[in-house]
Amino acid sequence: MNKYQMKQRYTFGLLAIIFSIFASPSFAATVVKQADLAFGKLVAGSGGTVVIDPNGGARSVTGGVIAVNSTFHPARFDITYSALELLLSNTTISITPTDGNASLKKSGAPSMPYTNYTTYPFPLGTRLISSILIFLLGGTVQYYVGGTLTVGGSGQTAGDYTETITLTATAN
Amino acid sequence: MAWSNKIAWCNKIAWCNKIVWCNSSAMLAIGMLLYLISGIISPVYAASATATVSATILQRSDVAEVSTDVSTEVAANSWTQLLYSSSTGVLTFTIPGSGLPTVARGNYCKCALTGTPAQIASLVSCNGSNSRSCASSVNTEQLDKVMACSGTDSINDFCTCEITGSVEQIAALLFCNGTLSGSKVVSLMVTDSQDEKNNIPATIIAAYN
Repeated sequence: MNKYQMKQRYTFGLLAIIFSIFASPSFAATVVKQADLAFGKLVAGSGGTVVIDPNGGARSVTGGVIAVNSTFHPARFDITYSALELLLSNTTISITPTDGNASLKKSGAPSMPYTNYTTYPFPLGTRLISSILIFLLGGTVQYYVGGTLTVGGSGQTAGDYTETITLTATAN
Repeated sequence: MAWSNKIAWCNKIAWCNKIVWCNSSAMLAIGMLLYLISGIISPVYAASATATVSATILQRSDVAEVSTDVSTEVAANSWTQLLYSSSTGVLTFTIPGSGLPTVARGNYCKCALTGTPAQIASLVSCNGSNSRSCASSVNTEQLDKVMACSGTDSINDFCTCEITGSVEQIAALLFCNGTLSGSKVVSLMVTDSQDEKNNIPATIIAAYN
């Protein structure tokens, strides 16, 4: 190996190391929403709660709320990751209301608190490194989000109530 | 130290030259490996997506169908509770596909369908099809009474539009093979036919479109 070749290889190796330090990660997971969360149609009655189960999508009501036959379902996010990625990155999942106020809103009407986010197949905040061995292979997780909606009584005027939530997969 | 000087200096020592050569080869591999690892473990990414959460509140009078099954109501004794109370409640129904609700209560209740002639007419009209075929399980004599109310009787001339029969029969009329018709609220009076003296009717509002 002559001096030029040596210098070239040495320089290239150094550049590779420097690049590895400053380069953006090439394995960023993606999160794609596949379905919104719908509590469906309800009659407020004397008020109560409505729960959407993320595991199976069942809806249940308590109190004076009447569940009207309609379409309801949990939200679904597809989290796609590369082999080893989430496992090694110790990724956790979080959900936040976009406006910081976890309630369904309608102009001129009392808001309805949306609380107790429930998720499937693993809870929020779970460090995936400790529980998801299948992540060794890479692929897509279908992640479902339900929760509890608190409906007021007769003051809950008719209409559509909405809120937006953001699901974030964060590498720790 | 200048590069040429370094090589020259290194050439004087055999192991140093070897290390330099090895390092130059290995550094490329190490660099690539670090790049891969950085892609995996760097605390950089936070992928996210946004979903809408929604619910629709309806006025009670707007309710077309509610999701508690009649049989569930009976099993929970809410039917009985309404029967023996003077309170007003809401009996909620489900239409299970194209079939009729199943209510295992036999002929215990005497059910009277009350409302304006127009309301009852719309109830039994079954979306314009022949109501008799839709409500074949209802006593035809009583059905004739109901149908008689669909003529020119005015709302003020409130005729006796009473249907007696089992809960199943009334349900058959109400659900009319799974399709509710009309757009008004009627009340379904339920009385105990076996205990007339304690006959305290409870008003059950069957809300539908």
